[in-house]
Amino acid sequence: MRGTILLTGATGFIGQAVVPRFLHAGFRVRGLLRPDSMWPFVEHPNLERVVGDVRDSASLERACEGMDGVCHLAAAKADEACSAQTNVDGARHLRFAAEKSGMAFIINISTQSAKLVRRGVYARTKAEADAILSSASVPVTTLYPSLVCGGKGSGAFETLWRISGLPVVPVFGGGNAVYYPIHRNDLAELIVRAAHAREMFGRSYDAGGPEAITLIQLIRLLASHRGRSPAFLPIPLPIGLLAARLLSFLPRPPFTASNVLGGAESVTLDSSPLYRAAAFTPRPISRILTEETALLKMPADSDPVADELAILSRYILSMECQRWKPGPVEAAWYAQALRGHTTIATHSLGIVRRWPFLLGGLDAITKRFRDGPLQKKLLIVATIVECHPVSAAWLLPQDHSRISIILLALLACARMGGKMLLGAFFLPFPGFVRRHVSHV
Amino acid sequence: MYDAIVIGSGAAGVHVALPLVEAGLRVLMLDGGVPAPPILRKPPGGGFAEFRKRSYEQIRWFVGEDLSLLCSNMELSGMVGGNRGFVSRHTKELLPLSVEREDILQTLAEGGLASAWGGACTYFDDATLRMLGLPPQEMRRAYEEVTRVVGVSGPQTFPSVQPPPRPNHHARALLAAAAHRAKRLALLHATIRQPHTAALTETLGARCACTYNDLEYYSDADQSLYRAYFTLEMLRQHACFTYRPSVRVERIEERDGAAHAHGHLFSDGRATTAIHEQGRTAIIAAGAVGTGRILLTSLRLHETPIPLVSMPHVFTACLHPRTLGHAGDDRRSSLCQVLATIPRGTDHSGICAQLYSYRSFLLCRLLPLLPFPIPESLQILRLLTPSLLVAGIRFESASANGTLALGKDGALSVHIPESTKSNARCRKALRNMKRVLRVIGLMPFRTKYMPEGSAYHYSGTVPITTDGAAFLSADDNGRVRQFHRTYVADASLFPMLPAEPHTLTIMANARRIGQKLSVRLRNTSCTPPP
Repeated sequence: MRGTILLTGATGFIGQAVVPRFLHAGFRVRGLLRPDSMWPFVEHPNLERVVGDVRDSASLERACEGMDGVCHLAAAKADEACSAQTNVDGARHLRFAAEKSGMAFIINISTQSAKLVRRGVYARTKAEADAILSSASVPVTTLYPSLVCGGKGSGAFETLWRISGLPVVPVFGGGNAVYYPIHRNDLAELIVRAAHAREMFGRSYDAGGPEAITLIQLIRLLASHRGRSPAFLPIPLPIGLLAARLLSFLPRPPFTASNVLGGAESVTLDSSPLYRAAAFTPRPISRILTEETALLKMPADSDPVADELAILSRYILSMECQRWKPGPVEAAWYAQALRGHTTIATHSLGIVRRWPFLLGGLDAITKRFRDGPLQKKLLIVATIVECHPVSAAWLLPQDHSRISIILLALLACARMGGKMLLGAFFLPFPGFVRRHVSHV
Repeated sequence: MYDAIVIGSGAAGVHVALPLVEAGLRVLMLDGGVPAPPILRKPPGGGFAEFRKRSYEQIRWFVGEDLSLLCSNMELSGMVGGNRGFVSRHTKELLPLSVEREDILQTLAEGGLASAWGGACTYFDDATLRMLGLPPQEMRRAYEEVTRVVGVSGPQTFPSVQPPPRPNHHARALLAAAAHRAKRLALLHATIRQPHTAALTETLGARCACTYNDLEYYSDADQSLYRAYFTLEMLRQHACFTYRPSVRVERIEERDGAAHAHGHLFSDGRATTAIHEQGRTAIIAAGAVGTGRILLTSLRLHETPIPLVSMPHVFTACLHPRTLGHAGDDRRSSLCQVLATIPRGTDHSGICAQLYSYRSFLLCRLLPLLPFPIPESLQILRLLTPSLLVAGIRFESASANGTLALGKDGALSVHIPESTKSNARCRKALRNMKRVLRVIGLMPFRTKYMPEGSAYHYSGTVPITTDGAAFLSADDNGRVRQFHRTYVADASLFPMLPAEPHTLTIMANARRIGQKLSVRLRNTSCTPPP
């Protein structure tokens, strides 16, 4: 037993790599889980989840109780309205809660962009958070990572990988900004080592990779792994910022002002003090690239059961509750339920897997066949969704005005009509429909 | 030698044993004894909305620790699915049954079928008690005593009843509408009232008033809603009470001035060692089907059908338009809120509707009722949930409507020829009930006819008769006519079933039988050899 540690942002991109490493190192880990986030980890005796939010000081205080230290990973990355709340207020709450519960250390994961001269909202709020935390009475170790690569998910690296497939790649402000890419797992390793090393408490470290590379070089390298060589289209910074400004009105902007600024300015960093203190050197860029591109090129890792659950749950929650993404816990529930229904064991979703939108039509025309495998599966998934904290709130009784009830009901009827029409296209293929309505 | 061997630990078993044990008689209880899963004793914690929004474990309460409800037909296995599934565990292997379309529930569970009881109680009037073959005066005393043990809350029309819980917003509106339209309801001969429920509103011993509103049915943790196994635990504190679980009793035999119970121990759904116990009396409280099975086996009556009363029931989903759009009270009970009854008429049977408006009802169980694709059905249900009520509607069975017979191979066969849907008297009663529901402001929109027997209320296999006309019958002390020292204490004694909830009456009657027997056993006591 190495002690207990609380992780804010445990379910995030870096957190997902850090949690297993802390567990492996013998820590008892408590992950802070937002009420609307999914838990991506498999059950482990030393892993505990606590529902809360860094924006909610009471829940954070509860989570901090009895913990030796905290690793602060939670941050709002996009230029959302909640950035200030999450990053700045969150840091303030954390500092207060950590001091109150008498923690031994805080590991604060900041970002290199906090050191930029021209900062976006993300960088500015993170810099403010660092200032707040560094004045805490608890020793704070601050790490400033550069570009973090590796694994699938919301990382910037996967975005770059996608961009590298374009014939013409737009780069803001010349694209000569220098990065020190570090692998996600290596960063996680450094974080875990920083939690053991008392001599590191109270100090700040740059946490980049061992080598520097410019944005253009990096994209070119990625493209070469795809066997391409793209042209670059330099876009002046003001135009990029203007575009980001305009796009920020979209519900999910493809890039933000922080992205533009982060790609335009170089920061020089020296991570060797960290490597020495932690006695660990991260892998070089060349290895990251060969490992990761191989991974990205591979088709999605296919656990058919989890896949099926993902497709069906996405369909059931269609417009609502976008955050519901099945993790290993939910997949295990679904697999267990399927084992109980021997009659649907051999049923597979077939073509619907490739074109999930067809599911609506198929559901509409098989509705009458309640005992059919498709309807049974849908019912199982609907129940799992209903009994799940992230989506349960959606189904709890709520106040509605009568007018909204009528409008929403009409919308539902319209959607049903659309699905019926879609379903009509299946009628020329009775064999296909029969597979989903009768036991195989 | 024991003074009494009680077979079964359900609502009847524990209450027939209690007066015997209190009188200091030596009682042995033979029981299937499949225990409730530990999660039922675990408090879910927090308020309902909080629990739903925070707990990853909620699925283990709603669909069972082993997710068994997900693996079954959710529409049908409502009350006895999930964590309550233990009530029927091992019965398929150990209590062979052959049915056609009927859905018959047997149990080997500790606390019997009462472990899945919804808690609704009625104090029957003298006329109904007489129809059941029970002496009204004795029953009134037994009601009173059993109320003190069980803990009943509701309108304080009976001694020792705890004050009623605050009706939720639906119930308030419905009761107000009923008071307002009393004349129209009187024309329909209907009564609308808050029911008695076996859930506490004040503490009673170690049990407390419900703290897990909305989740009572999913957790016994605060012991608010009565379960027979609470009384069993009480009994086990007594030195003169012996409990033997994992026993399947097969037959009773009387010889040498004693009653002998023969059966087998079982484990993992397989019968193992044969066992044999003897007592001065045997009291069978194994439920109408179980008691019928034991008596038929004891008398070696193969291929001889005996009567079985099973309660027809349907579920009707109702909309309460007046509450449309309001989320409603934050704390509300998941037990029956309003009871609507119409007594028997010339062309229709008696009928009783129990109205539930609980939030903890999984909406997914209603999904198959709606004709829309699943996401749209959910969306529509979501909009309607605040004003959705479920009426559990039950019909009176004035006489036996089915038969029970023991096959040559030892399997019991149950046959209920007429379905609820084809019964004209039930259909008429249902029409009347829907009219009543409309009068109090509900819109019944979908009725689901449940398979015969699926109300899990059975009776009439050993009816109480004054003349012994029925083939297998008992006198009003519960003694089976074909035997000298074998008694029946459960619902098998009722020759009919009223539409109103009658579990409290089963318990009161068992207590009455136990009391009378304890007096007799004490008076004739020959000190048993050590």
